[in-house]
Amino acid sequence: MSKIEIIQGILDANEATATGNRAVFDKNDCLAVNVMSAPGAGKTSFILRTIEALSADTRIGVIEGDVVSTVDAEKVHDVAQAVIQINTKGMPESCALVADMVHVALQRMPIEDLDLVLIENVGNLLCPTEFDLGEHLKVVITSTPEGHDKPLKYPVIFAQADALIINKADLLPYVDFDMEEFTRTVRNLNASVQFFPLSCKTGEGVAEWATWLRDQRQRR
Amino acid sequence: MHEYGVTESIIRIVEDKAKEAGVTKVTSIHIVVGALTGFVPDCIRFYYDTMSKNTIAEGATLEFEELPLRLRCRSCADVFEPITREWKCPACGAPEIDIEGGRELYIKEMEVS
Ligand SMILES: Nc1nc2c(ncn2[C@@H]2O[C@H](COP(=O)(O)OP(=O)(O)OP(=O)(O)O)[C@@H](O)[C@H]2O)c(=O)[nH]1
Ligand SMILES: [Mg+2]
Ligand SMILES: [Zn+2]
Repeated sequence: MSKIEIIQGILDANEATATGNRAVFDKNDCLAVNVMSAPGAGKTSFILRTIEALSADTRIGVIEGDVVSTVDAEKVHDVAQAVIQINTKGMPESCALVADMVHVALQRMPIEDLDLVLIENVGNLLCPTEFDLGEHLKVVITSTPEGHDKPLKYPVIFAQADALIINKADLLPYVDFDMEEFTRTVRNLNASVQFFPLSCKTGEGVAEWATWLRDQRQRR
Repeated sequence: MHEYGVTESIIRIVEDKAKEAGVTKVTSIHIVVGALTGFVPDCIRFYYDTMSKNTIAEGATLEFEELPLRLRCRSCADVFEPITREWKCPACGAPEIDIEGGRELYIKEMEVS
């Protein structure tokens, strides 16, 4: 009986694939955004609003990580330049997208003709934090009915976010969501995150987000 | 939840390392898991039983070592393990922190025969 030292990250293979994906995005001058939230916070609605706001001068592709259905992909189909549905059905690890799924999606996408790729991750605040997809930006959506204590329960995803969308702002008068408390809690975990309160229902606040995203693209 | 993929990856790494070292049997695997990762050891064990069948590591014992959550104060750089859910620096009282430890997930070593 003897011991062999290993010291190898269990997710190293995913990291390597993610790095490869990022190189493909970079080579094609395409900004990749990983959109994450709890189920129903508004990822699909947010992607539709983002396309609406930017499509005049930006060619946008979408990767949909809906677990079992094609509902979200169908909604996006008419407005995006290209939509690839990743069906995670049958894959036991369907609680998050992994880099390999994006790698496969990229082979079916006209990536050289796109300026922006929005990736809708699986609705989950825990698992997606473990899997880098090769994106440039992580966008996390919290919707106001979820309550302002989410960052304390899922600190990692809030610590990682580049932008934090506070969706369903139209519901603020009806729900118990303390905006100040929420932003302070997130700030304590993440010094550089940008906040965007908005409503995918009314469209209020979407322009500010779109301006920021356009600016991120131009900086690269 | 994503333990299936993680288990697959553990077996692949162990098989590679065993082959490299020219050993024929892996009897135990030592895995380090940070408190923040959300991986459930029992769930990995559950998958491992079936997925390791007919591999060099079939039936190996999985030992998990959990590393604690550690935070670093952005004001005074003190590193601490929080006791309550309110993450405040015990040295200076500041609430602004960065996550320093607790996200680890790696295979440390294996026992072979
Ligand atoms: N009131 C209000 N409802 C919204 C808003 N944004 C989205 N919704 C509604 O919230 C529900 C979920 O929205 P989706 O965009 O499907 O959310 P999702 O995160 O993509 O959901 P999953 O993909 O199932 O996780 C839908 O009924 C939307 O119409 C908003 O700003 N205000
Ligand atoms: Mg959706
Ligand atoms: Zn301090």
